[in-house]
Amino acid sequence: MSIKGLTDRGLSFPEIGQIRKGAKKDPNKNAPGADLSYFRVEFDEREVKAAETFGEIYKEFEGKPTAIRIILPFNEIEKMWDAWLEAYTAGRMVARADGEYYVYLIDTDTGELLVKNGIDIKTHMPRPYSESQPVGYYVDGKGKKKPIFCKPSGRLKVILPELARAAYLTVMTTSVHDIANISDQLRAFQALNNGRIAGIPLILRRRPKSISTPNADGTRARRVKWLISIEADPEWVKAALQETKRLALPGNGLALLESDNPLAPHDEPPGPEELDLDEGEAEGDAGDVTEGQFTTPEPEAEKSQGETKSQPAPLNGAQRPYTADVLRAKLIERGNKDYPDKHVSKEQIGLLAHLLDICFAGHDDYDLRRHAIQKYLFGVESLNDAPPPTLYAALNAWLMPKKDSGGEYRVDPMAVTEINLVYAQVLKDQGQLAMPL
Amino acid sequence: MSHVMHYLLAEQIVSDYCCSTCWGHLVEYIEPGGMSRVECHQCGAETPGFVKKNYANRRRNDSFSEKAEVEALLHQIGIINQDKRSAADIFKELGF
Repeated sequence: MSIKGLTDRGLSFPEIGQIRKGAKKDPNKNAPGADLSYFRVEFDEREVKAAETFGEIYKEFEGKPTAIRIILPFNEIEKMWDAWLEAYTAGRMVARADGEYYVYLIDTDTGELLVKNGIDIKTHMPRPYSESQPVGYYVDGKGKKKPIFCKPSGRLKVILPELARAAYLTVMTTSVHDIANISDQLRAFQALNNGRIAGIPLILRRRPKSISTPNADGTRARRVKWLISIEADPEWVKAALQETKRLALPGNGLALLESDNPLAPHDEPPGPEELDLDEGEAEGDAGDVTEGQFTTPEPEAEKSQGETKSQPAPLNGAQRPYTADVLRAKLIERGNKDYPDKHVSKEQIGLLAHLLDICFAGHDDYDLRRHAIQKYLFGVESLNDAPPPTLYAALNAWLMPKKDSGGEYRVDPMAVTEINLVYAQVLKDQGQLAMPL
Repeated sequence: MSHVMHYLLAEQIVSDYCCSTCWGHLVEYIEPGGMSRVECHQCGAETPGFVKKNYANRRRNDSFSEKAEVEALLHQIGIINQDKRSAADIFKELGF
């Protein structure tokens, strides 16, 4: 099955196919196709390679996939999810409403435009929508005049990651249950992920659900319908819930701490322009921060780190260098306490990554080590996804970058020691024995 | 799918609308009894419906920025790889 002409539209981000819920309409019957328990995926006839790739990936479903891996292209729901009440006749749309007002309406007899962009052309006011009022009439094959009503219509743009292309397929549904469900799920993902839904690994699935449907005689009965469900990749959900749980704890789990916080408040961290350090401004900013507030390193760092796994770390009164879990807790506490509303620029994130990298200078796997540190300290693979207050605290109160005489950044030596402790802890958590770093 | 309608309506459809599948131009064919048949010049009898030309043009314009946004996202999450051709490779392709 293929669609003709879909990719001829001249779009830069083109639609290359459609994902439908129902069987193809029988041309001899004036009724929609039967509801299916799987997705009917149709590609444009020119998208031979995409169709082959899709068929290869989902070959176990034998052309009847009940679950499809997708990602969403945008963070703004309205840019990829259209849900309206629409009416069509003679192949064109004659009415579109949002459930309260008409957004678009034309006279089906004369073709005259009645409502445009939600405003009635004559009254210059919104025209209320009524579910029971037909938007026009058409003459059927027997010459009988029949009313036209608006029906729900939902279209969702999705990207198939396996195709590795900036092109989308449209998931189409006319079920009011699907529309409500998809709207709710998209909003939930957005709320769970701080407004970002683009790129989240998702699974589009058909799920059976018993819903009330009308009979021919006007009565209603419950029937099993295969609705659309958008579910997040289990690994992603696990990570997101852990983060939510952490944030939901009183004071992000640090409310029981005593007030004698060794990471005392200090000046603002250097901005990106300052961090360029052409004028040497950042040295002063960073150097003034917490100098003199840290105790001498304890010689038995490995011993301290070994204790962190088996019992809760003593957060209060802990001496530097902090063990891995104490450091993590301190950074979160400091960020939430002193920089709750701070934002971190891309340049600052880049600097933070660079500072972590140079702590592992000389190691071939410095990049892997940095990512392990990021994952442990901030709970995320990418610094872009880390909580800004914690990043701010890490840059400002912990790493405290300074330029040396050669113009290169240097990290606070105590922080370097602690970074190595964190990495040792990561290795231990991965099941490796403690080893000299 | 056949779209037969009054010739006045057909004229308006051809003027303001395009094919809903390929967004191609529509053609009006005169039928008996003051009626006309409207088809896409490319899809012919398979023309499923019509969309406003204004809508198609607006979508084409929006699509430029959407492409940039989506490509940046796909690069970021590692689905598509950035072109890592060197300056020397590019010069070579250009024939220098």
